[in-house]
Amino acid sequence: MEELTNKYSIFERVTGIFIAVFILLTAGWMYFYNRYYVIGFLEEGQLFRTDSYYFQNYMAQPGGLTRYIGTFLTQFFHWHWVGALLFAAIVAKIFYLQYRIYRRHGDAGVYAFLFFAPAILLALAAMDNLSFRMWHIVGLIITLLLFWIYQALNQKYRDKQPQWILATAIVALFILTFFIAGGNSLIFLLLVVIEECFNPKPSFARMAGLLVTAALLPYFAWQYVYISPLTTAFFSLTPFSEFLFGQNKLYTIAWVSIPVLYLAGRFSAQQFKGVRLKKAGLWIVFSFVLVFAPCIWGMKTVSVPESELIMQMAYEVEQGNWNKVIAIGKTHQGNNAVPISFFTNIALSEKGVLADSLFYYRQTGTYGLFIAWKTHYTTSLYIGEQYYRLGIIQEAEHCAFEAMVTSPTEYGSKAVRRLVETSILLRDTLRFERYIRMMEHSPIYHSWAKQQRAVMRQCLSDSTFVPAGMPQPIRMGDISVDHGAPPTTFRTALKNLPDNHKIFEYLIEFYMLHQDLIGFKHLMDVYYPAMHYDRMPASMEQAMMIYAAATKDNAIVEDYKISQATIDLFQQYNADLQAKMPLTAAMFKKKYGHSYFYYYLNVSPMRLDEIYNKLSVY
Amino acid sequence: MKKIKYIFAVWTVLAGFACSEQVKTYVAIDADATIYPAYTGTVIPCNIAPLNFKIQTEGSRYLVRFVAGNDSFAVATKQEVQIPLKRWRKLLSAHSDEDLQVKIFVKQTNGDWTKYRDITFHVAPDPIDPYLVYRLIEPGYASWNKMGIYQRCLENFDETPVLLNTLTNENCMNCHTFCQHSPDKMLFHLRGIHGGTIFADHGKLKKINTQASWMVKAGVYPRWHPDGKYVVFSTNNTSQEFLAMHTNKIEVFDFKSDLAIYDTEQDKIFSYDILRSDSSYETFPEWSPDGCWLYFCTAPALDMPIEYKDLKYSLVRVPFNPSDGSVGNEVDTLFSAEKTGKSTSIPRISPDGKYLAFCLFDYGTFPIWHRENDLYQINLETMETLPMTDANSDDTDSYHCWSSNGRWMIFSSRRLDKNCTRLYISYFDETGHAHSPILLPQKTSDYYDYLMQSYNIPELISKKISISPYVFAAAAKKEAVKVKE
Repeated sequence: MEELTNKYSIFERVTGIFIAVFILLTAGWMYFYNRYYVIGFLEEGQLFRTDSYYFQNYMAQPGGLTRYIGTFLTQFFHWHWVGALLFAAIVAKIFYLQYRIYRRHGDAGVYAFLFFAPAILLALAAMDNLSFRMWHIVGLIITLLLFWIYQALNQKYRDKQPQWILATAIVALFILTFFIAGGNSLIFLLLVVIEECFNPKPSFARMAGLLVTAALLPYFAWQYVYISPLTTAFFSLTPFSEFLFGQNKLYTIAWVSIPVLYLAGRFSAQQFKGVRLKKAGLWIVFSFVLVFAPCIWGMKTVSVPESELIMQMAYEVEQGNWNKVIAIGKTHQGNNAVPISFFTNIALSEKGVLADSLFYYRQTGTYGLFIAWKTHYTTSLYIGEQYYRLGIIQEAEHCAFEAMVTSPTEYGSKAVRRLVETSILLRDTLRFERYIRMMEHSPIYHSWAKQQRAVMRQCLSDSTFVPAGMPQPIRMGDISVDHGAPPTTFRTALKNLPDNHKIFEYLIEFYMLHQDLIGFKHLMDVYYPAMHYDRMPASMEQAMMIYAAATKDNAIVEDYKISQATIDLFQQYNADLQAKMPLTAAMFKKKYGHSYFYYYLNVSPMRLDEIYNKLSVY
Repeated sequence: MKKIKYIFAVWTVLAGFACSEQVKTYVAIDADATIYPAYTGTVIPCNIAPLNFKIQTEGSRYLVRFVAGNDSFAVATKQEVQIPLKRWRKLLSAHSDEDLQVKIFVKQTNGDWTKYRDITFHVAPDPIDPYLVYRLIEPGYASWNKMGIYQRCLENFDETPVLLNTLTNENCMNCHTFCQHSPDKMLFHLRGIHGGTIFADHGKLKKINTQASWMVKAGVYPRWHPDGKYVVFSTNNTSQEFLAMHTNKIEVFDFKSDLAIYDTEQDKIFSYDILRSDSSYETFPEWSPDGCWLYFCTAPALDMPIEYKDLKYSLVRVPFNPSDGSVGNEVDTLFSAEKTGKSTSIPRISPDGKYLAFCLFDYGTFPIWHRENDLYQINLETMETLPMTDANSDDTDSYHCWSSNGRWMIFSSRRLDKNCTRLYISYFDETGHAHSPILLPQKTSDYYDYLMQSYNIPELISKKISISPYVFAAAAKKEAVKVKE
């Protein structure tokens, strides 16, 4: 067999470069391609607080301290670039620890690059399932650190007497690992067993003691310390408890690969002891390709650009950046069109051009206007955003509260922020106190909370004051909100506020998207005169033209003063439809796709089951 | 040795500083110190946990002295008054049926002490049941996440789970109820995944599907007959509407409801025409302590939800024969919705059978979201109806429960922050007067500030539930046995 040489100093230098490249690549990928879908989503779904109740709540769970640390780190994702760097650095730490652990037995040398596998897989796992959290990575880091301490003790005291001191230390470290990192103590166990097996003088008594501890400790903790399912007590923070089987394959493979790689590495080092590596430079290049090619390939494969777009839109909508939202809506071509339509329509409504411009943007039917209600975190948030922008603040508050309750891990910052805002607009001081107190205990939101207190003071002293960036609350008689039938809610709201443009336009566009021109006409007859438009918005003119043509009632054109431009466009459309040499579908769409004429005859509104099948973020 | 002596000396000095806060002279003013929770003088149980509070009146240091008879102890603090449990218990047990004075001294920045008006509690000789069971859940309107049924020892601050929904795949659990305040015989409902009713009888568990063929849903709002043989349920088709402007925010109402009685010995569910009618809604049942009357709320069926503001329940009763489970044919109306224009809910009768407490509000089925809802009482001997004025507040006061000795009531109220329900304890004296309540005490005064969950269905019990949550969870995951009809 050709001898291989470990050029120890070369690999030492190169490892640092590998780590730096990995961090830059991962951080860049996270920031430029996943800052909203992963970084932003993780931060918004939690709110780290410094009060003791928050801490106690975590400590009552298996692996609670690790979860607490993970949430502490996640709060910095508030600044997306910080989050991207932090994420990359923490994941890189997995590699570094494995490398250092392996190095105790000599140079990792050519095998070093293999230890990137778990780190890469963990980075990709963040997108494999939205329930993946920083604490999953932190738990592994803590476990590897404690194993590293075990290694140091083992090397120092292995051959010293009395042996029970080392045995006690190992058990103590296991116990510590369990109570800090939960089920990741299994990795500690496996690594210790591997270490012992490769010891010149393995101690079976130590291994047996550790195995017994590993079997009994979680059980007793389940009985006397925690109240949790038994699987959580044994496997918390591991793929076997956190996710339903198969839900996060990447995390599962990453987790399992840690002891497997260590075993393989130790075995190989034992077999190929003292080999000398020729052409180290070639090996380095080979390793570089072997690490970063799959890394980049994996990043490209797991990325969900459409979801990133949707989450970016949700972010921009919350910030009130309507032009950005509209720009995204304009260019989107993917499958997941409903939330894109939904956010675009909110932005159009806010800019006062919903009825004019609706069909310049892809419309999927009524579900792109009114999202179907589900007691689900993101759905509640999105629906609440609509009510918020319309000024129906009590309902916005309701939706934000539902989102807070259904937030996957804990009360999230996005929902709580909205609850603070709605309580300010409602001048509800008691609710405001409740939520602002949470924010005041968040290091990240502490100064924001202080600003909101000033805003609340101003609101209380001036009942007409509307804080910057917040909508004007509407005042109307009491109505009930039917989430199962939003048009019913909007109809009732319109009855109360017959001159509210935004509500009117939402409702009129509902009928149009539903291709219900009778409902459309009725609504126009009842409410349009009171709206006092300077001119009728384009989509309404077009719908009215179709209605007039269908009912052969030319008087409508006169009564509603349909513009000549719309009449001409309609005539042209009809002419092209009936032409002996008709336009191709693509040309037809290009010429008329922005009009209601095209939508009415060519688009089938999406059904609810279609929406649920296609959507990844809904 | 020298080191030990040094440490001992340091500790002695420090301890001395801690205890040395003494008020030699002070200026007494005729004003109340601002404290939170805002306890005012009322009647408290002799076995209640310490009423810890926070002093919000400005000052640099505080001294609070608890005086009863010739006994007293003091607590020096910077703001948070944490009353030592043993001393508190000793003082209360030695001075039951006497007054307990809380004297608050505030040290100003110039070193002078100011004494505020005393808070005077009366320590009732009647103890409250030592345990309280409730559900904790966010006051979410349609959704839930984590929830659990908990038991709290009222003599200290221990709270332990009875069952958490993290053990049962995050389903919904509720309607825990106990026969004669004893956890030896109890039941609760599970909804959603693992749906059914768990019965526990002296440690033996069984899971029942209480939905008979004629019932719209499985039974809810259960109440144990005093002899433990029967349980009466309501079966309801409930819906809710979210109000965009109204301060009540939500309206919860029934489209249909009937009553059903479950015989635990024969494992059979049955009903009578007088308890189930298509032309009326029957709900919120309750037994009399002697088991000879079945009380419930009833309203004529309406076109719901359109007519929800016209939905008003009367409070009625029918005779019940425990020997054969039969009910009488005539309904006796105790409180008429038609005459008063109000709606009633949740009748609960004191253990001595003398008083009936219920909720009264403007309209609708569910009182908890009605801010105008108040607690009322009917003297069952004179049939006089009165509001529990001292117990009520300007927000909803609802879901009340009597103690086993009939001297205490515990109920839910949104008065603290208008949002989450908190529990209040009110003394009900022999003259039929419900006194001002105290907030269920917690170890730290800011506990409720950070608790985002509401307390539901407080039930007082005479001893701790000894069945482990894991045993309940295992029973919950079993298949529910269908009742016979």
